[in-house]
Amino acid sequence: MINTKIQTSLVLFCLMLFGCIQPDQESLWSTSVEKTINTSGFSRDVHMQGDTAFIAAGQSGLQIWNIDSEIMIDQYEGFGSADLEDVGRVYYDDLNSLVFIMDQSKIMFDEYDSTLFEAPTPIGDSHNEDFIVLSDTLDTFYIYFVDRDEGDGFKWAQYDFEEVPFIGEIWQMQSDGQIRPSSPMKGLSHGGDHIAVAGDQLGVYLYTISSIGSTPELVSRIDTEGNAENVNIVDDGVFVSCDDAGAYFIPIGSFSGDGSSYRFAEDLTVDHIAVKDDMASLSLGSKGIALYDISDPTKPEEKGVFPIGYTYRTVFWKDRLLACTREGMQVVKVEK
Amino acid sequence: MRYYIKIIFTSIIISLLNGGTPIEYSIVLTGGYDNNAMRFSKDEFQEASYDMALMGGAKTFDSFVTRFRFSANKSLIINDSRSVKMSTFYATSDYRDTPDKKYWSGGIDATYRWGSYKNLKYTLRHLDQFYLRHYVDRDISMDALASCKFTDRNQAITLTHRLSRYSWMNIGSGYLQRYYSRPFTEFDLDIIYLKGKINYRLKNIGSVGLQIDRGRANNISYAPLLRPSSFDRSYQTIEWFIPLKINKKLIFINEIGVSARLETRKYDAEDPNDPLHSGRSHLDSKYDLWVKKKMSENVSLTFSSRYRTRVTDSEYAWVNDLKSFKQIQLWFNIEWDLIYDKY
Repeated sequence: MINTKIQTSLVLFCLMLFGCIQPDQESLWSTSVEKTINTSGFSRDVHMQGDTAFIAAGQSGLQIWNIDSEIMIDQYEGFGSADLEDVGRVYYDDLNSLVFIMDQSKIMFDEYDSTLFEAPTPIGDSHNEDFIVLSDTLDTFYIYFVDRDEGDGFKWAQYDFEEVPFIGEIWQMQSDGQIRPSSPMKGLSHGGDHIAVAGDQLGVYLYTISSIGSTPELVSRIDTEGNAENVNIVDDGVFVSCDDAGAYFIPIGSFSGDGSSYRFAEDLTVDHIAVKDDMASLSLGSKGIALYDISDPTKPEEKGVFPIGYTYRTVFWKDRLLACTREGMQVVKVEK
Repeated sequence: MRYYIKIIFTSIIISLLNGGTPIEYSIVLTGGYDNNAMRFSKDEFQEASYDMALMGGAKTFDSFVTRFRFSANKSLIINDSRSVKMSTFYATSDYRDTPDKKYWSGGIDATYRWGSYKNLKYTLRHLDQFYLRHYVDRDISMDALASCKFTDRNQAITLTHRLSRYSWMNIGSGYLQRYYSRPFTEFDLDIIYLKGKINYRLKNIGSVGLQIDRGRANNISYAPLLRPSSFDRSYQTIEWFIPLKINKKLIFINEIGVSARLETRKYDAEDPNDPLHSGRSHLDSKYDLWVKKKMSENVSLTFSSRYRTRVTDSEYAWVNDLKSFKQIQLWFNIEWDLIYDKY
């Protein structure tokens, strides 16, 4: 009887103490779209030079924007007297001040000045899929490009800026080369002394180049599920985007070793992978983007799928992610 | 595990309480059958028949169930009319044919009583890792299925008071935390509810009651961030409960009862990107029937059944089809009531 009040109070105190529960926490990341650059046409690719964005704006041609001020500096919807046909890729060579674009008919480049695309230099043919430009010397660049036509495959060329009698100074092709694989080639990436090529149904090819512009030497090919659509070389491996089959991380050593690879995002259709530090951004087309923590690239950890619109590819810029979407180019903030 | 420890800890405290009164306890063993353990709709039955992954590890839609329940209570007499009663229970359920559906529940009641049908009760209930079924985790995937479980913690205070010689009422309020396990935390809810019940004793028959619960569920994990799961699942709910119990002048059996529990839920969501919840409401109806037979002073048998149906109303016909279901449950339990009196 004496202890009744004390012990009843003790029990009630315990009940109150344990009364509430805490929710589980998920380790997903979140995103917010800070601004959208309205490109009119589909935004398919972007190359950043400082705050200036060279945007491949599909049927709206090439657009050049200042991202901070959201002001369009220039727009090019044609070259010479012809129209550009759905511009899908763009690159700016800062050393030689050249703009490269790829539309449905060809790759072309021109000097970035007031006469841009009045008379561009064409490269390749109508079946080009991707290109990379390497330059380390003024007035010289090397271009590697791939073609979905198996007869063309993987090509490269060196261009120099030189004086041609009766014409003047122009960019002249000095040398070229070609590898004809047994499958269409879809995507290219360069890192260190390696070039990776997405080989559609046959997986991924890894080549070494002894120096910029040198002939690629095949290391080996590693097959993947689905069709290898795109590649991205990082320090220690290659990220591969596979149509209908997710993505892979393949260590560089695997190409000369046991061929091991690490698959992730199996149930997603991945068109492109951008990588920065421990973050990978997967472009999923109509599903938007998926973010992965790649602190350990052999065990990518999913951090969320984000429906920001039909996304072709993403590019990391400063501490933001630029997403090329059908709604324009979106500046996305990622919060971990 | 920490919940087990809490329940055990509190049970020990109660059992150690002095007061010069015995501890009453009971053990209940239950066998049961659930014809739709994962609450599949008609369309989902068909879908699951060619995609077994929807069923998690289960091989059948129905399941046999076993349950064990232990409860104890102790009264602490303050004076002739006033007392404090502490009670606790622990129960486990095992759906034999639905591997993910194994859970436990527990609870503690503290009742302060100052007269006949006059008391104030604090109730604490815990339901641990209750499995619903496998769902697609749209935060990270387009079709990867994950086990969807939630945990409930429910606290309520109820005041009971006599209204007349034959009637009494219960009014109270509660706070239910329904938190989902990863990866479905976007559904986490805090539910505040009010409840009121009027009971009427039917002379020479039994009793009848009418209860109304009104609640507001707040989707606490909703944040307008860009995620597939960033939708507001908050809702309003109102539930009617009408039990009728007959326990007088019965032949052979000692009690027979029926009850109807009708819950109407209306979601707040109006987002066209969330057709699953947008403008959706449903009526969840549960009809119970039970029969109880005392075999001796301490042993009783109970047979009970439940017919449950949920009818969903949405602008989208496919949502109506997806979220409506029917369910039948049958239970048979045997209960031993025992007393431990060290005095």
